[in-house]
Amino acid sequence: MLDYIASAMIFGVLVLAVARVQTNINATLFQNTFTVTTQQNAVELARQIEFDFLKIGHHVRGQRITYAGEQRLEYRADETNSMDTVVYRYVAGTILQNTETPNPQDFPLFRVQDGNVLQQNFGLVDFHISYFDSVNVQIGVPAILADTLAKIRGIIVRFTAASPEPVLTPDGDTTYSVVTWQKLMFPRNLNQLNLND
Amino acid sequence: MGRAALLLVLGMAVAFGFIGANLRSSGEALTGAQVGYYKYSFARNLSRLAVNRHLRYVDRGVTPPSTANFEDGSYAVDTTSSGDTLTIVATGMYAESTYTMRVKLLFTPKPFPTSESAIGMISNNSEFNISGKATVDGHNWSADGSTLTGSGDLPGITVSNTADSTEIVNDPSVAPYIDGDIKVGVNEDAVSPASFIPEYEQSAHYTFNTPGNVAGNWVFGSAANPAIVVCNVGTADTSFSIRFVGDVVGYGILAVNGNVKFGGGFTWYGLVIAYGENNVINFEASGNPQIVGGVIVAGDEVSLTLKGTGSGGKVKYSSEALDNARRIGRLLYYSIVEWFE
Repeated sequence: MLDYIASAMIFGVLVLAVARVQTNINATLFQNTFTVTTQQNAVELARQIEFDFLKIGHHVRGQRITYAGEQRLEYRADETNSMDTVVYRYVAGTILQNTETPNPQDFPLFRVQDGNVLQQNFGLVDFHISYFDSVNVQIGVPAILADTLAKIRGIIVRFTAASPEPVLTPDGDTTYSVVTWQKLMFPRNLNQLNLND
Repeated sequence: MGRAALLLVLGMAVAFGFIGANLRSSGEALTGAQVGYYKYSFARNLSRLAVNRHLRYVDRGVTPPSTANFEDGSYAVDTTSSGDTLTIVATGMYAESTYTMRVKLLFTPKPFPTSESAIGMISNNSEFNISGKATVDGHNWSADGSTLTGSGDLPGITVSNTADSTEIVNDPSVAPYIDGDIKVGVNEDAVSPASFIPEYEQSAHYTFNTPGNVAGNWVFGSAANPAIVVCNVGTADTSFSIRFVGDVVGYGILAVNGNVKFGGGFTWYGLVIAYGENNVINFEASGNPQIVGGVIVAGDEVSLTLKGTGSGGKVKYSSEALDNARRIGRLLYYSIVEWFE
């Protein structure tokens, strides 16, 4: 009889221990999953921005950038290298435009290509663009005058992407996994000769 | 009881193994995302390195390699050249990532001093002497000085003021040896070459800093790859600072600070500049020196004496020779026509 009672107690203790371990493992799995998702989102957006912004002005004769704002950039480029220049626009949305995730701070990014709007939900909680001239002096935003826009030679993009769901920290609180990325780019075609074909 | 405990332990082992595998795979995915971006960035950096390295080789007039390895990566460069336009296709490769840049560049010469004549004397006090069979010709000759092009003729000599011009034109010992669309012109707007000299000194292919003779058979540059030669020997030695006495052939820009004497078989295709406070250029009586292109003498007081034996020491204006000198690799800069990556 004593054996049964003792084994039941040991079993209970074991079950409680396993349950605790399971909880911790679940939290770690969530944390890892969201960290991976956030990192992958950040890498994907970084590559997209580099792909697009480094082509600004390619095959464009005349004005290449038409609007340069802190959270908005409009430019023309031939991104397919097919002599077909298209207007592109990057605009950061507002938190009201992204209600699909539990994160109250994230907002979408809109990429507009030749009038076609693509809403991208990378979990952005911060998105800033700044502009520099040929001697690395920062250009005030928003820049809308052609003469000012023609001076742009360098572009810094900074963004922070957060996980869509909160993750559990070791001390039991919840937080969002975040990744910050920043890069100074020199789209070479902003410095091209603007020759006529 | 014993079997139950064994099954329980085995079950827990399987469960923990499964959870561990999940954790490991998410860790691998995290690393994969980061490393993938690193590989992509490194391949791009290699591609950019290929473009920059190729251009540095072109600057030096050396044939660039079409492939190279760098830090476990590599790049390949394919180029086509048409006139002043150079197209570079550079592909950087790192691990399984590749990145290609297609770049079209226009070679553009930097500003270049001109005298608008065969010989430009930029000074308020110019002295010009000529004797023997030496001549100055402002007609536009071909790059090798063999034939007249038939257009683009300029004055034989330009000076900075009318008084010097009148003096030279009216001097019967000088005027007959000068030819051109006019013999002597006045160019009050001529810009001193002094501002160009620091860059020539910095970019020089050959530098002579010691006064004395430059003897022997020298070949500076070539028609295809002209060179910059700088002789900076100061003006302390009033008899002469530097003297070319051998069979010297040069293409490009010869910049001399101080006095210079040309003798022997000296032949220069391009631009000869004498700069400094007081400059004396002397074509010696012995030998057959020749300059095809142009000469600029600038300073507070300048003196140019041309002598020559045989077929004569001569200065022939040649826009082609000067244009070649403008295109010295180190004096070209690259303008972007297209850049696709």
